[in-house]
Amino acid sequence: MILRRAVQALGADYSQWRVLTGVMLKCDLRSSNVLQMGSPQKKGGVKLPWATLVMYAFFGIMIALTVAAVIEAMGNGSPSLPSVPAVHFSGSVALFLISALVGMIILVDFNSVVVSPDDYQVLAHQPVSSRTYFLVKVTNVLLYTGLMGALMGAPAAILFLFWAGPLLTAAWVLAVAGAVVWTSLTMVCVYAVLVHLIRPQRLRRVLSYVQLLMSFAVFGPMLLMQTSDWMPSVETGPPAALMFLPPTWFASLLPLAAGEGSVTTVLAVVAAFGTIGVLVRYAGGRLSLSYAERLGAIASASETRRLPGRAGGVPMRWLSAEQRVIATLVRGQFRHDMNFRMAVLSLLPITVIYVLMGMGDGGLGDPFVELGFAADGLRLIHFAVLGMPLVLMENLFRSESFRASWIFFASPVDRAKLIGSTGTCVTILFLVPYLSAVAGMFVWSFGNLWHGVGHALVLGLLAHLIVQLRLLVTPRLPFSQRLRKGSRVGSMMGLMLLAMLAIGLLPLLLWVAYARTELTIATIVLLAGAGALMPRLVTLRIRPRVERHEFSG
Amino acid sequence: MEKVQGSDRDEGARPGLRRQGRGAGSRPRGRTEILGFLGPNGAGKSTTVKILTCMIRPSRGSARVAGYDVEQDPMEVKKRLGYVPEAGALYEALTAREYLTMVANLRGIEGKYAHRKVTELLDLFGMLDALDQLLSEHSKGMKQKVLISAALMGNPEVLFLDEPLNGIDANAALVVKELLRELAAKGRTILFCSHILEVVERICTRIVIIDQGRKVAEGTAAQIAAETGAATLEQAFARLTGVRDTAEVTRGMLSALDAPERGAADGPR
Repeated sequence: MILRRAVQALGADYSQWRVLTGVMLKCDLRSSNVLQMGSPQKKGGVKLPWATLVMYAFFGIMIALTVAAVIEAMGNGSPSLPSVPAVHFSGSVALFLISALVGMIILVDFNSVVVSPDDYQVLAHQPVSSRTYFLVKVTNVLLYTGLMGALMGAPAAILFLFWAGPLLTAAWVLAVAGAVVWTSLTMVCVYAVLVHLIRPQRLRRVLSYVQLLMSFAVFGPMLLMQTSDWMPSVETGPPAALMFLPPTWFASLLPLAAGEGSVTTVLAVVAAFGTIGVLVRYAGGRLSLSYAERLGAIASASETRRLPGRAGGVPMRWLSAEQRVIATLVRGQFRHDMNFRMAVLSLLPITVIYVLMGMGDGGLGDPFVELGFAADGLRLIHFAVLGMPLVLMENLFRSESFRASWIFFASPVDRAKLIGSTGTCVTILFLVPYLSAVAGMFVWSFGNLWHGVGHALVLGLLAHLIVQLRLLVTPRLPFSQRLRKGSRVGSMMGLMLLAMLAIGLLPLLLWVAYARTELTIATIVLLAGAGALMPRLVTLRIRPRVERHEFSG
Repeated sequence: MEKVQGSDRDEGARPGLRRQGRGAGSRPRGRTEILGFLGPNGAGKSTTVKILTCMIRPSRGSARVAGYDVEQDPMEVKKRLGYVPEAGALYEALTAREYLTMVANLRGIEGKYAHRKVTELLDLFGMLDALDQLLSEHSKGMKQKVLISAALMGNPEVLFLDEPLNGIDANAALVVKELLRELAAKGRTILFCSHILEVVERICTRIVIIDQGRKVAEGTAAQIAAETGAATLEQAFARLTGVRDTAEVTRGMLSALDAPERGAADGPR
């Protein structure tokens, strides 16, 4: 009854809102297994993405540990009774991390919730008002981000409950909810403004670049968190500069709940909830079915710019027929599939930030000089370079145009060879240019051409092996799987954790390989040989499976 | 029951409906019929239908459907129309029952009435067995039947059908054609877009042909054929829309098929 009145007060049709919200949620939860033959969802029903939920709960534990670490580091000495400034600052840090992750979730996984041309095709001719549509979309986004926010904020809430009492915990819950809503609405508004301002013909391309900039905005401030200069003393709350960040505004609820509010904290809380009001008002005016109409136009509009008749850059004549097929497909998808393009481009800010963090963390030591674990500044760059293939492969399998993969099943083509060629194409099209840039940075940083190029080469060969191993474990045709909402950040982070474990062992390899020149050459030859053999091994392993499925799909 | 006056949609270089006095579909209110809407690819048929179904705004001119202006009263128009889109977009993660119930609910039909209506409509197409099957599992024809059922859900005054017989089997096509005749007889107005001229000729009481956004012919199939000096509607359509000599085009295609397959040897095996 209250909900009905609230929805009606916002100018929406309650029945339509209820129906559409249920439908959107059902579609999202089912989309992961929609096309699996004989799946239990064939007759309806939904399945929660448990792995993703566990992953966000894990992030929540990490955030709670960060809160504990910040309180500890602020010199209170007695975690059983943290000071209010320590709670305020740690809360700000935790809310910042939650907001950044929520932003990233929308950016990577849920941009289709905001940017969905399908709604236009299905709903534009139905008697659904723009207000109702707006409320459905916002409810849809908030359901996901709220769930993720709850999972990420709950462990810290338990921590606050034991340390600081129920009132402060309640304030924390409100602060998390506010920060999640603020971030979600801000992202919605950014998309809405772009869709409103830019011509449909250019929108697809512009959106991908703006998403790239937004990922800098999401990851960038994390860099600031690395420096200990930000750590305030126990007497003060967050530094003045941090008071300009919205997560700190919401964290200002904590000192207020503890009865130690100041004019600044009151103003911050007013700013926090005031801006939510402004965002709701603004987004309400923008996110309508006419907004969906513009999105529909993106789907039908094509850029008039001339594309090269043949692929430039990579000399295609050096590639086998299967490699040429995959290379053409991958390049085409990179040009036109916004999700894939975004997934690839988002690796750049991560690398830049890791390089900057590595430089700030004692500089990039030459691994040929500082053998083994001594070259600590390189750890994050190794993480980016060796994690990149995993992220790339994860995104290479999934696409909105997955249905087009029928062509591989209806053509006289060796699918095992096609799958085997995928890894080689990823290496040629993405790893080589990416590692060339990394090599340049190494040369500049180490001050030694051979060391820089040699280290980049070893990393590149390792990355190529990772690509092949990924194919060996899960052989799939490129762009042949449906995109799964809500799973990409989770699976990406899971893969990254695996990569972190592997990267922990990398200094041991480097310690042996870089000890003597002969050993370095032997390592490169060994890795290159393994890299050359792997595509054949992948093809051999998957051929029986492909043949078995010749007539069953 | 629908009326378009000089309606236009600017889409860059894409030809839309050009400004015209009383254009395609312009007619006095009150008469009901099945209007065949023909034109070659890119002529502006779908754009016109999208304007009339309030999916896109006309950049010039005006249009009225069921007595309501599409720009001034889009909600009133939408309440009175049923639409089968050419693209056939559906929420494929829903079952047929769920999708149709959603459409029923959006049109204010709830509870057991919605359930009864959904069952009746799908029964019409012999699809009761597939009621609880995900739409992603449906064949193209089955999806089309669901779309037609959805268009009929609100008992609409005006029906816009863009290639409605796409992919559906001959028996179901017969049902649809008969249904359209009956609906027209009961006072519904139907705009029928199709490339299958035989079907249009057989079921439409009046035909409008457009080319490059302009109406180039209007009348019954016999009138249009007579006016263009052609023996059939198919020939009249070809003349009006400037198709090249079909024999010449066919010869060109056969010649391309017989050309030596350069590079076939190093193609994927």
